[in-house]
Amino acid sequence: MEWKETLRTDVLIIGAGLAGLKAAERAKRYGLDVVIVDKSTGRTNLSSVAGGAIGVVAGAWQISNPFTLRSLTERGILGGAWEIKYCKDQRMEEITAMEEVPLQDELAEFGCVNPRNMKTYGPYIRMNWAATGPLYHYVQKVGCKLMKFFTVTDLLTVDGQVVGVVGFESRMGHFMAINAKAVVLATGGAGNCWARNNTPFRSTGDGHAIAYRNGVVLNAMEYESFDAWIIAEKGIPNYWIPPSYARTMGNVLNAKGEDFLPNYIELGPKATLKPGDPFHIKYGTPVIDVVATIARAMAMEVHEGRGDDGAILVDFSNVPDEVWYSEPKGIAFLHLMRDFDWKKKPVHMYPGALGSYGGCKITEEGETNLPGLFSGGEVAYGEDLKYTNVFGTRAGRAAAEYAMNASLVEPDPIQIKEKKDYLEKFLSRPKSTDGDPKAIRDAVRDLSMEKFGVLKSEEGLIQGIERLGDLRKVASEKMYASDPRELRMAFEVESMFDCQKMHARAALIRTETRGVHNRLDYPYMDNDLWVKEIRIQKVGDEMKLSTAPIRRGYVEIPKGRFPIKGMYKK
Amino acid sequence: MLDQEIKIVIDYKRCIGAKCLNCVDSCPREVLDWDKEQKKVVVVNFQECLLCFACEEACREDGNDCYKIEGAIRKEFQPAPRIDMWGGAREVVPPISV
Repeated sequence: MEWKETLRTDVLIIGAGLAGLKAAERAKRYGLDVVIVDKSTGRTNLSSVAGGAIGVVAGAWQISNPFTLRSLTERGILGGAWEIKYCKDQRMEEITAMEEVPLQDELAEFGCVNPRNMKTYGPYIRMNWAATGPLYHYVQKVGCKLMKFFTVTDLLTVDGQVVGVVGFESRMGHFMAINAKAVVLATGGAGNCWARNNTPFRSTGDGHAIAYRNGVVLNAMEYESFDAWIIAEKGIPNYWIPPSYARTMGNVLNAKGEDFLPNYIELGPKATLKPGDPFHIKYGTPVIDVVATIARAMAMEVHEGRGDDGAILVDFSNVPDEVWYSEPKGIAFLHLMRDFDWKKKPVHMYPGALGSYGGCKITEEGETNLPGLFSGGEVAYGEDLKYTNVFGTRAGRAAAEYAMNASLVEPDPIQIKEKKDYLEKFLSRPKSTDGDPKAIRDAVRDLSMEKFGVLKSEEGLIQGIERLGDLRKVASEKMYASDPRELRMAFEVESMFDCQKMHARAALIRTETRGVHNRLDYPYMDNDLWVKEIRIQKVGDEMKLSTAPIRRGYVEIPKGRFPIKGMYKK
Repeated sequence: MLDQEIKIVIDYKRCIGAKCLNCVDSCPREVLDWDKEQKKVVVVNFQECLLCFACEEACREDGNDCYKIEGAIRKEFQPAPRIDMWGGAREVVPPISV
């Protein structure tokens, strides 16, 4: 592949999801040169295809009830608890910003007159495109340069300061370095490292891996959110079921036809347990407070042999037609087009990876420990769109302010050549069955699901780490790329190796069950020992893990050990 | 069952192939692929299609407008009145004080 001349800019943003677009929009207000690069077209990020989270960002629920203590501890995101303050203070401001005059045309195009009441299920199933779509068009209109199909593979540093990136264009095929005063990492999550997931195929944790390789401190990597309501039917995509079907209507059953959720959920005082009642009436607790518990419950039922074909069943027979054919309209379509009538028989479901709670450790302003590198969104443990919206903006603002006072530092040509050689290595290798990047990727995904899935154990994690090492050894000797598109996949596989190793090693040392992190061998939440975050940093060639006390937000944490209902056996 | 078959229709006469690939790269689920031997965009995994129309839109806006998903009845599916998405979460008094 040929080498193109280095591009120079003030602020470089990696990733055109909601965090990246928000960062670009904010940085552009400072009148700087802003370049956004995306390894795909900018339409396939999790922000654009995920189901409904923008409804939470913009909806009334957020205004009246920013975050309950229970929903926080439920998910276990202790490390990010302090962020709530900023989300609470700034979230509505960011949503209001979308109503401002310049964005109105773009919003109208998407049928959104009022973003607070966004019709997120508009004409397409891509619900969140209603939020990212207008921004996607808007940032380009105000002069941010969007470079599609450009995969960033590494950072360029001079004396520990980030001065740009190196990468390649995967369509026409050329290498290029980009020299920037400030770089914003907004690459999203790593959901596609697991075989069952509800994320785009390009969510492979590239940003986590790039950050790790360059010595950025990462934390909370053991938390990967598994969403419960993901379809496990042959011939139907692993798609997330919207709340209106599953959360308030469907009856969750095991293979014996029993409703097992009461064995796991702390039932509310007014729980009716009547089949057909909406979730919060049936179990007396809002579903948002028990999302991680439901995923754990489903996995435990299957683990203990009460699953049907490796999944549990959800009976939708009582969902009324008008709901069935309404929001989001595509869902009913998806199964109807595959001749599957869900109203006639129960649907198989099993949790799948949805979002990463772990990532780059950032300050309030989105700064990482590397000067010149900023981060926001899912790669900086901004697990959903409310964080993304706020911390994408903060990272963009901080990057712009940094760039205003910085000058362009010329990158080191030797460093650029090293990074190029690393990529050319894949291109020069011969084709082989062992070295097919797609096959290796699928092997990593299956391994992750088996060993680093919803329920983890010491034995499984150690075996998993070993097998991951074996796979990596094969990949490091044989993985080839016959064209630039395959090179992108090879790079993604390399990212997945780093990402999964970080995930597994952090999960191994957290000897408790907390939120989305479930350990079969430690079925209790241990507040005496584990109100800590696990930090990961590359020191030399070693992955160093350490623990540190969490920075407390609004969360009060009671002392003691708390057995996990349904998991803890006397 | 739907009364119309849904299918992806590509006008290969207009498609500029490897120079564009907007549709292929816009797909979140790898439904499409670029076939190097045949030198054309092919549908490899329609089973995974989520009908998100990202491909169609990318082709219309950034490509050569040669790509359509046919048979998707869009008007028949009207949004019904919204039901409470978060199942009563709104009624919970936030324990967080500022």
